[in-house]
Amino acid sequence: MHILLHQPPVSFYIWSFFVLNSTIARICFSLHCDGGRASMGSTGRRVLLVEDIEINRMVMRRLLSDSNVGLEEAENGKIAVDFIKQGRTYDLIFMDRDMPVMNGHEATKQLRSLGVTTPIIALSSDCLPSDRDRFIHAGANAFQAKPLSKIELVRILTEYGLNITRA
Amino acid sequence: MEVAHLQRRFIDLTTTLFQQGILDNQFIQLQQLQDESNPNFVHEVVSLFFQDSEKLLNELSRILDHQIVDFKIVDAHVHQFKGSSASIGAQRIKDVCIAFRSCCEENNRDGCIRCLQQVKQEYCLVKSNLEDLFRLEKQILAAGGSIPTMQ
Repeated sequence: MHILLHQPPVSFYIWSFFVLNSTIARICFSLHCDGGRASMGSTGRRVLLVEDIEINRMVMRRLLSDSNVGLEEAENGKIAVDFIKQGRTYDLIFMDRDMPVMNGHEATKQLRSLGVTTPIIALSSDCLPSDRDRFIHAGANAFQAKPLSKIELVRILTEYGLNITRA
Repeated sequence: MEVAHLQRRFIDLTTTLFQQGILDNQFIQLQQLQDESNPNFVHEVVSLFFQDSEKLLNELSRILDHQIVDFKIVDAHVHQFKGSSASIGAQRIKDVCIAFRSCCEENNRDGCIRCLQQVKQEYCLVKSNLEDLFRLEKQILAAGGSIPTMQ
C-alpha cells in the first residue's frame, strides 16, 4: 500500500488559522458568558472562586488582581461542577460552604468523584472543628476562615505554587 | 475647612467606630485594597452592601410579618447578610446575624423578630456613620488633602 503525502494548499493554512482563532475566541467568550466570570492572568495560572455573595466575590477579585493569576467565578457549587464537566481546568479552587443550589461540601465531593485533583481551599465564616472536618472529609485540601486577608491569600497562593506577584 | 482639621475628624470618627465595635479590621483591609488603580473600591463595595442590605431587610420584614414562617428562607437571607457584613467589617451586624441564625434554627419567630429589629438598628448605625466617613473623605480630597490610612 502506498501512502501519498500531498502538500496542503495555502488556503488550508489560512482556513486553519481562522478556525483556530475563532475557537480560541469562542472559549474566551464562553468564559464570560457561561454563568461565570473570568479574567485572564498573564502566567496562565487559573483560580476558580465558588462563592454566592457578590460582595465577597468583589473583594476576592480585588485581592487577586495584584497576583498574576486568572480568576473565574461561579455563584454556586453546581456551576463549579458544570465548569469542570465542560472541560475547564484550574490550578486552585476556593470553595465557599453555604451556597444555594449546591453547597460547598457537595460540590467538593462531586469534583473529587469526577477525578479533579486541583487543590480545593474551603472557605467559611464558621470555624467549628466539625465544619473543617466535614470539608476535609469531602475532599478539600485546607480550610480557611472568611473573610480572607491579603496576607492569608498570599500564603495560600505561595503554598500552592501560584504566588507570582506583579512588579 | 482646614485639611488637617478634616483629617483629624476623619481619624476620630474611624477610631470611634472601631472602639465601639461598629467596624472591625476587615474595613481596614478594604481600605488597603484601595489605590490609584482602584480609587473608589471601598465606596463601591459599601454601596453594594447598602443596596443588598436594604433589599434583604425589606424581604425579612415581609416574611416575618406572616404567622407562618419558612425559617429556611429567613436563614438563607440572614446568612447572606452575615456574609456581606463580615466582608465590609460591620462587626456588630455580623454578631446580631449569628444570634438571628440561632433563632432560625430554633424556629423561633419572636426571637427572629427581635433580631430583625436589632439588625435594622445596627445597619442604620453603620450606614449613617459610613456616609459621614465618605462625606469627610470627599471634603478632604476637595480641600487638596489625602485620606489618612488606619493601621
